[in-house]
Amino acid sequence: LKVRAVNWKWKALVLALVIPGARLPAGEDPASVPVLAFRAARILPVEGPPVAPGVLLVKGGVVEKVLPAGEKLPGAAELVDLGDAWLIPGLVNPSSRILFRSGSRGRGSGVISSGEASPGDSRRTRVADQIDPESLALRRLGRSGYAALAVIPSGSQLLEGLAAVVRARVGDEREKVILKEEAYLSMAYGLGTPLREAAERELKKAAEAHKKAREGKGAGGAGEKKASQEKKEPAQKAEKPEKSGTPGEAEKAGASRPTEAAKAPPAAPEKPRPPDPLVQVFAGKLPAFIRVESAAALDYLFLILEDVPEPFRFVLLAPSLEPEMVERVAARRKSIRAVILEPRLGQIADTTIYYNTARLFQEAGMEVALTPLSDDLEGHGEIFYHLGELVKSGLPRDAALRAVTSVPAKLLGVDDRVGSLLPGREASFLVFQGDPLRGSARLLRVYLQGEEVYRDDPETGKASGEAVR
Amino acid sequence: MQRTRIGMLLAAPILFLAVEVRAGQEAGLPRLAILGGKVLTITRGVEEGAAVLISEGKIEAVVKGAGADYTPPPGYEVIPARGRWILPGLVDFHSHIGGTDINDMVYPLNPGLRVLDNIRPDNPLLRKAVAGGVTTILFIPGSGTNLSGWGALMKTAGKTLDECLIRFPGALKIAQGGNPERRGGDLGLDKMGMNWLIRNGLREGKAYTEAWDEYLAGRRPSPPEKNPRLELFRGLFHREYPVLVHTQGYPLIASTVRILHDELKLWVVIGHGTFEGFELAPVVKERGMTVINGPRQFRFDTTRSSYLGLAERWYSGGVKELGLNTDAAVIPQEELIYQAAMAVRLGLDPEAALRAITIVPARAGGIEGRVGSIEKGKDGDIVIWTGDPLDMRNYVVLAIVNGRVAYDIRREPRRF
Repeated sequence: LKVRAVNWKWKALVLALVIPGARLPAGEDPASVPVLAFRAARILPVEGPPVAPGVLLVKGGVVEKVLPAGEKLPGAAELVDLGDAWLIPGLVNPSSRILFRSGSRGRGSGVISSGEASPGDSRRTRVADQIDPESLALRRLGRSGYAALAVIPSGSQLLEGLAAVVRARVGDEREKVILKEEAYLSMAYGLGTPLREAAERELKKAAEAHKKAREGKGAGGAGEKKASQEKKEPAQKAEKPEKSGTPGEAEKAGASRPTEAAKAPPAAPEKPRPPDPLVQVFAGKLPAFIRVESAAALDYLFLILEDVPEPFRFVLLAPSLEPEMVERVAARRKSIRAVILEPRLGQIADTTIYYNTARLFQEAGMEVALTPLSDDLEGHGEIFYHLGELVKSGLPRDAALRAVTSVPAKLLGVDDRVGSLLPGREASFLVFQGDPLRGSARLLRVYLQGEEVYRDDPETGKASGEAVR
Repeated sequence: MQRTRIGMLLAAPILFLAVEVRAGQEAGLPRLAILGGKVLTITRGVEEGAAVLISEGKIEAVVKGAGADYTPPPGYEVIPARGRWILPGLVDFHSHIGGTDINDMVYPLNPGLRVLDNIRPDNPLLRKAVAGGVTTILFIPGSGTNLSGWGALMKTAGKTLDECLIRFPGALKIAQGGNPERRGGDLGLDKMGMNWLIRNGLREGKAYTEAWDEYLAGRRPSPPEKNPRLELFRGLFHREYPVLVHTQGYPLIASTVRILHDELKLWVVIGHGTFEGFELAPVVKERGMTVINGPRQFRFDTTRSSYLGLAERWYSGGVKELGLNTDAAVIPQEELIYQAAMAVRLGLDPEAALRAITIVPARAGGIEGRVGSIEKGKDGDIVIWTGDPLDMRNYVVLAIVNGRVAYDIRREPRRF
């Protein structure tokens, strides 16, 4: 313990001395916080027009503003000249399973979710309870250019659990790593009768519960929290008879509960259970992301949604979809907030006809976010090749950049922190040797919250290895 | 002296096995003049606005400073290319898309097998390759066995075998480890057994070659018994064509250098060269060997917690004869240019990256007299790009192979 404490202090001292841009504790005299001015040939704030050449002002790990290079800098600003480089905000991945505990390169099963109410249901699993802030994968992710990512539980089931947004940095405090604890309810839909039945049952049940709560609230006018607690109990009671009909974990869990309750001493008042995440989705209080495995699965999902009595909004994660399917999705834009795609071209089978689903959605006026093609460190590092390919086949360059920065940040509800270089955002940005959308442009430096975590020196060919520590 | 000369004369007929096909000799080939582009000759610098004249299937001339308004001699079809980048057709020295059936795994060593019988000209994958700017490939058998057969150097365009074949054998394919380990049971599962097999098989070929050499030199009264299975080894041991070795990592590459190059004196091209293989760069450089790196372009160095660009490592380690491959269809053939872009992103000099997919693989196969650069007399293999090909957003608008237009974005559906 002693060693660790000394180590921590030492680290803090080094941080304070070496990294002037590091965030300082609250209560520090703001005037004493140094201002860094990063000058680059071109700054792409993503939200807002490019500034070329420009200066990015950073104070305490936060963006002050972006100025044209000619303008006068604040007197105390320390200039960091990045020469011919281009500067863009750090990237945001809206859905990842990159592994935290076993393996350093982010391959593996990811955060484990635990079955709960019924097969394929772990809706209350919170990734935020399982984040390892010392994860090597997290530490190494920063150098790929990603500043933040939403981590979802493993498995591919209807109700997977609650995604957490984490920063791609390493801190010895969990709080420094986690940007948002419950960003969305992660759901998946594929083909098959059990999944269809479960989807119909759970969506209808949650819709009814939400409807009841809403109507109850409207009549009684009780406080929101009380109302939700009241509604919870009958809802849970109502679940039981149905569950006893379903074999599997649910039944066992349900059966064991009353015995435990009977044994427990009656004194301690029971802590109210947090509301059902799926009901929260219907109430518009929690975003939902639904991943479909194929266009056919999406077709079935649409059928199921037609029978759900209450509407809800969600973000759709889909494979490459052909133009007709894009139209059908776009026609449902009232309920589908945005689409998240893999950055690849689709191909109509047995033809040489390719289609660019991202472009089709963009042209249909829908928001598009893009995830890496493979969910490991390599995949994250290669995103710009794939963006280049999409731009080559017609996706506007601005849309391509927004799809990996500001759009996912907005969908995750963290756009006030990451995803652009607007004032007040975290100073997490990437320095490229030229236009990043070339694909072949070298990533020269990575800054996270004003702190340089990676440097690749073109003169010596040496990368700054453990700098991410 | 006299004996040797007679021996060489007598050796000439055996070349019938090494078929060399000359392209573009039939009548009616178009005469083309590509005007106003930025010409990257690869071997003779960049010529802004040079005219590239093609006739009889060959590059007839590169007219420096001609400009977009140059008037070619009568009879030439003008291809305007102002603002475009003109490159030689790309060359991939490691590809499996020329046909079918590349892994016949009956024996651990298969010197009797050849891809020549399995070439499928103008197949869909080849058409995509052309559209991606790749015009020459070494089509080789897979790496399922230690010695999987003889590959062919071929063009990616052409309707018949005669039209697309450059040379057979293009190279022998040896896999020194890795994939053959999956086969198992031949002689253990690991590298000692495999190297024994390879050595043994090659020594048999060498003995056969030497027996014929002795006979042809008049030092042996009767000819050795003809063995079709071993016949192509004669050209291999006379260094008429190379062996492309599937070899990667330090121990395998070290044994490639030691056994195949130093001991058996073969013309050796290092195939994948991945993992920590680049640590042998000084050894490889000293012997003047070529490395065709890929398809993996990076290595995660756990001690430095950092990605290393493998091509950059080889190159800065002194191996300037550095090529890049796709191992198509491991990586699609048309993405050879992406391999170069990725190598650049990971630190390789852009010019070295372009040489790595043009002239270096051409030299690796001994066909640099025909492909790999824009020079007078070479095959008319020219690719016109919308801009810098190392920028992923650029693409091919026109590809000419053997002096004929093989891909024209205006006539075919756009691929990329």
